Amino acid sequence: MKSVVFFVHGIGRHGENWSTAPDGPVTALDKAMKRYTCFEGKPLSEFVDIVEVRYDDLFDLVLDNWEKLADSLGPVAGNIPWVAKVTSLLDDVGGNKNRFADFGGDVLLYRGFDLVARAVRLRVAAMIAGEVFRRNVAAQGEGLSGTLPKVVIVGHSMGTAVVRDALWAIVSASFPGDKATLKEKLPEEKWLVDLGMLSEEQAQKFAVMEGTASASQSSPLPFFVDRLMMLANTIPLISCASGDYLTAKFQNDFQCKSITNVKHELDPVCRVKPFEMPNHPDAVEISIEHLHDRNVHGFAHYLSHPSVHANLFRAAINEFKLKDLAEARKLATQSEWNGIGGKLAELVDAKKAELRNRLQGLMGEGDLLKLAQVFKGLQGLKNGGVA
Amino acid sequence: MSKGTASAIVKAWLAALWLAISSLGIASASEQLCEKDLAPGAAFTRSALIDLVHEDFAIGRLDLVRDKLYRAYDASLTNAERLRPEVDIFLLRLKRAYESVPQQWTLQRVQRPEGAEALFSADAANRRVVFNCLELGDSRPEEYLQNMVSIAFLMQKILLPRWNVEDKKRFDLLSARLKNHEDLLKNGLPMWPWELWLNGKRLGENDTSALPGTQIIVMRPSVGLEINTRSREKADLEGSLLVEPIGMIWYRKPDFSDWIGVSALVTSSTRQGMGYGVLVRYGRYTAGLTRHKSDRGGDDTYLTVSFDLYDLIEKKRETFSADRDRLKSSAKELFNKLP
Repeated sequence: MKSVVFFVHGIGRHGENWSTAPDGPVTALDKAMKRYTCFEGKPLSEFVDIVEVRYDDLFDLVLDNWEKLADSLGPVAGNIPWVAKVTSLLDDVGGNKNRFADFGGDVLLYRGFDLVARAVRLRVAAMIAGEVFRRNVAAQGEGLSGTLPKVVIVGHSMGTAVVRDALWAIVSASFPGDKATLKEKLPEEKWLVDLGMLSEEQAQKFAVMEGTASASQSSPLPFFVDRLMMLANTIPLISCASGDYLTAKFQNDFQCKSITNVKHELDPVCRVKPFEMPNHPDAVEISIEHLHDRNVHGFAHYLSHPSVHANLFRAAINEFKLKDLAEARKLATQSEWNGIGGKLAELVDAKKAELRNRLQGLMGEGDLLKLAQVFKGLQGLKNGGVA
Repeated sequence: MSKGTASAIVKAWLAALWLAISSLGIASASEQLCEKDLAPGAAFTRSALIDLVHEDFAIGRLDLVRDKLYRAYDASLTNAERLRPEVDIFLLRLKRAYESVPQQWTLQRVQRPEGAEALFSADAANRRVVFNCLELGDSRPEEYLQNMVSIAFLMQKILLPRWNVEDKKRFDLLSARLKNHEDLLKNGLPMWPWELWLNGKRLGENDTSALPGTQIIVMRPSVGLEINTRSREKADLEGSLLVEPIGMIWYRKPDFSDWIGVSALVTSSTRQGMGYGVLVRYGRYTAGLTRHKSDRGGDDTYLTVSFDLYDLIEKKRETFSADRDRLKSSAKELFNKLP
């Protein structure tokens, strides 16, 4: 069975099929795969199941509500000055959602409002757990032959924190004592079908199997991930789960089997509050410093680097063998992947220096406010470029 | 040579080849160890192992399945192999297989040491079976290791049905809670930022805990109409700004689409000045009584009515102003027609 690779986005608005957009992670990986003969020119989707995870619509839902509330007061809001100010602010925020998101507004919503954060965590958790469950049901259908799919998750920027928190929500899911209320609210078999997770036939088979099973759950279930990749890690600043999935164990085994943290030397986002590698036997940090795009923080920009995509290919694709890994290692030592290249290759020296200076200017440790300043600075670079 | 004889020879040759491959135990392409097809001994190919355990598996006797696999593997070991640390780890895992989950029996490519593969996830003491594929070069891991991996692959599938039953409950729970949260944000009484913050603080630590069936109202502004109950000629249907300093609503449906509630109320209108009172909420509609200072001395009681206009906005944001004016004039007309 194919491995399943989840992509979890960072701040900003991500429509359907965002992962295959020109600046999306799948596009970057497809491009990178052309460098390796083992893939025979085939795209990523030929080798793994791709699942893009979206949660930004929940932020929009909240912003929409605020905008509507502000609008509903109309001119009488002016009767009380503070109400007038608040409504004006909310109206402005709701009307400029993309701008709000680009400047790190999503981070504020996630960190500042527990209800929103929980909805986001549950969305990501249900999606990851559901997709894996669906594949496990299919694997069960194969009988005693075959093996289970590998699970690889790639989070970017804010997505690193969201996915860590969501994985904690999965492994800490606790239901004894709440089964009665749950049953009332949940038409048992229909759920999986309604959510598109199982076909009617699969659901029926499952119901039969469930009826004959005698196991009973009394403690939280584990959830094993084969590789968790974190690009431009924001966990120290944004994560707000009550526990740490990265070091969570089941019967002494680490549930996160291996961890890869990737930081870009010139990406200020992962410098605001640097991530400390957990005490884990298979945790590795990759440091890169190539400059192929003005947006050094971009998901695709990270994955374009041979050291990064080779790590992902190695974890998820059997066809990517040790000789291919060696090829990627060799590629990574070339000057193109240690300095200016790609779109930026044509910049004159003065512009290179200016870009470096502006990025250096954004460096520095700090708090959420500093992170917001960094996002704003990056947005300026992305939109305006180097003068 | 006749056509029939040639065909028979080809068939016999293919059958012999198949037998030879089967006896070598070459597995399917997806079952690999150190980038080469898994090649366990004849007694540990997938089909041989299935033959060994399928009857016990069919009746759900996982304890018997485990015992058979344990005994078969143990019996296949030489004295030297039995002393290997990885065999010790594996046998211990196999002994406790009944308590494990399928995902613990997978083989994955690890990052440390580079180029290695490992059976089981590491524990704090890093006790797992590691295959250093780089060191092996072109040679295959020894047969007792191939047998070990073959059993591990089968164990994934043996444990899977029981695991899926449990996992479904978890998935149901996560999905139900997700739906609850999305329903609250979509269908519930919309919260101003400070209300959203405050109500978020009431959540339990666990993300899968049930949502509270109540919602705190605090400093909530809205628009309403105030009607002087003593003096109809003083009736003023200008909109007033209502502020609920504190209140509570109780949700009446699991999808958070219906509620009742009660709040303290302060109103501010240009003509009557400040008023204070109580407001009750029934779904989207609210009604309350407020007291204002009267021109004639003492206090006048006002009836306050309102409904949540954001519903209208959702439907027709562009025509909202016109709708609101039309609604207001209709209410005025209706009031004037009253005897």
